[in-house]
Amino acid sequence: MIRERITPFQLGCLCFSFLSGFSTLYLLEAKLLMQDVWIANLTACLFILMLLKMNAYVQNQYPHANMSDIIDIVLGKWLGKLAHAFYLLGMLGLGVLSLRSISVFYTSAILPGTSPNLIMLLVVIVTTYAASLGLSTIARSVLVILPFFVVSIVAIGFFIYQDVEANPFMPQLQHPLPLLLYGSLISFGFPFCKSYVMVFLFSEVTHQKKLFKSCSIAVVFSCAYLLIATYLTIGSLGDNMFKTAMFPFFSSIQLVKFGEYIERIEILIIAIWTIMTMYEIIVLQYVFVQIAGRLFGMKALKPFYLPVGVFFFAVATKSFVNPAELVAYDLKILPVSVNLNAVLVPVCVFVLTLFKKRGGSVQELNHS
Amino acid sequence: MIGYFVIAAIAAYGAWHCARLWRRGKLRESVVLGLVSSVVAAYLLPGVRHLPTAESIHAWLYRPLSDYVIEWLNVSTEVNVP
Repeated sequence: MIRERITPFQLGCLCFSFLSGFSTLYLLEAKLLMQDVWIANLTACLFILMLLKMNAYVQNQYPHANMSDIIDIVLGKWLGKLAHAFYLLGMLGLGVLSLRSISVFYTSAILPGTSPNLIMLLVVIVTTYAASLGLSTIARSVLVILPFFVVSIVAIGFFIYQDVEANPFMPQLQHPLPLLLYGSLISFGFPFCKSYVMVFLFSEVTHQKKLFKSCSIAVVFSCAYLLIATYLTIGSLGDNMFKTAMFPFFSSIQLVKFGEYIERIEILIIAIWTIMTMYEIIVLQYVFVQIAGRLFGMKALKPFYLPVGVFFFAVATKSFVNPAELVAYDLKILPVSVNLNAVLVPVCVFVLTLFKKRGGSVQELNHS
Repeated sequence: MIGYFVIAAIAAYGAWHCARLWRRGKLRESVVLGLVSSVVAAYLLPGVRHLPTAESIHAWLYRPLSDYVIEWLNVSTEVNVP
């Protein structure tokens, strides 16, 4: 099997796109914490940086092995298979959430008469094609899209900032510690913990020593984007409108007017959101196929991209039929459910790697 | 309508690639592909309900823990959904 290599810079760009896909769509933790949301976001960001450092350390100990192989080596064959099954379930959950979020957004904000299933099917067709092209193509295409995203968001942020009259993050520390803690959990669950998926791409990076640096910069930029979007949204909409809007950042973008030259600037943002969300599904689909291939001991994976994409679509048609269920899941289940994949398994692997002497099997794997 | 179209497409794709992989001696890949295609078709059949989803499995596994955490922290997780 030909290994596709990507540079640390490409990994960072991919990680940023993956985390920022639609991280600003609901802003649920901000609806709970309002002006204190920055504490939750920063706490979640710091926590995920710590976990990334652990994962990068583990990867550096086994430079030629994929994280799936490392999990198998460290946890053992059957415990490793169980962990992989949970990873697949978690990735399926994230993929379904992304598909449903994009369809909910489209059917409630732009295309109310269109079937959500049709929107999801169109997205899946595109992501399947993209995932089948391979990792290096995906990573290189992100480099094309990302400058467009950055320029658009900076321009729109500048225009929204003109409507912000008072600092929306003041007065601070108005919420009790337990709520801040739970807000941090929500922020950790979505979007930051999604970075555990990127760990499975670590072995494909050319310079292994730069893994943490590239991913941490991406996570910090993702956190900055989230904070800026939240600041601008609360500042321009006001507390009450922010709490009642289904897609607050989108509502704040709709307020932007640029003379008589540019109208409906939110269309631009919809396009960007759609593309970035697609990148999330593309990466999930790609990593899902890779892990499933290792789980079932398969070599020829090319024919599986389409069935896996359609599997995401099929499960999505049966999930979150009501948008309220999706929000309830994001608020209650996701902050707890991600901890197994994003915290427990990586911490176990890290601790066992620290204490485990590198045995013959590891050396054999590194030489192969 | 979309469901029938996707079932037909995945059945044709699954059958074609299963046979192709089988002929090349990749039996494991062929069997897994057949299984995945069948599961996808089952999910998309109209009238088939209550199949497990990632959402339902996660809710079944983690709801007690989630309820415990929310009760322990004594927080309200109500947000407005229009």
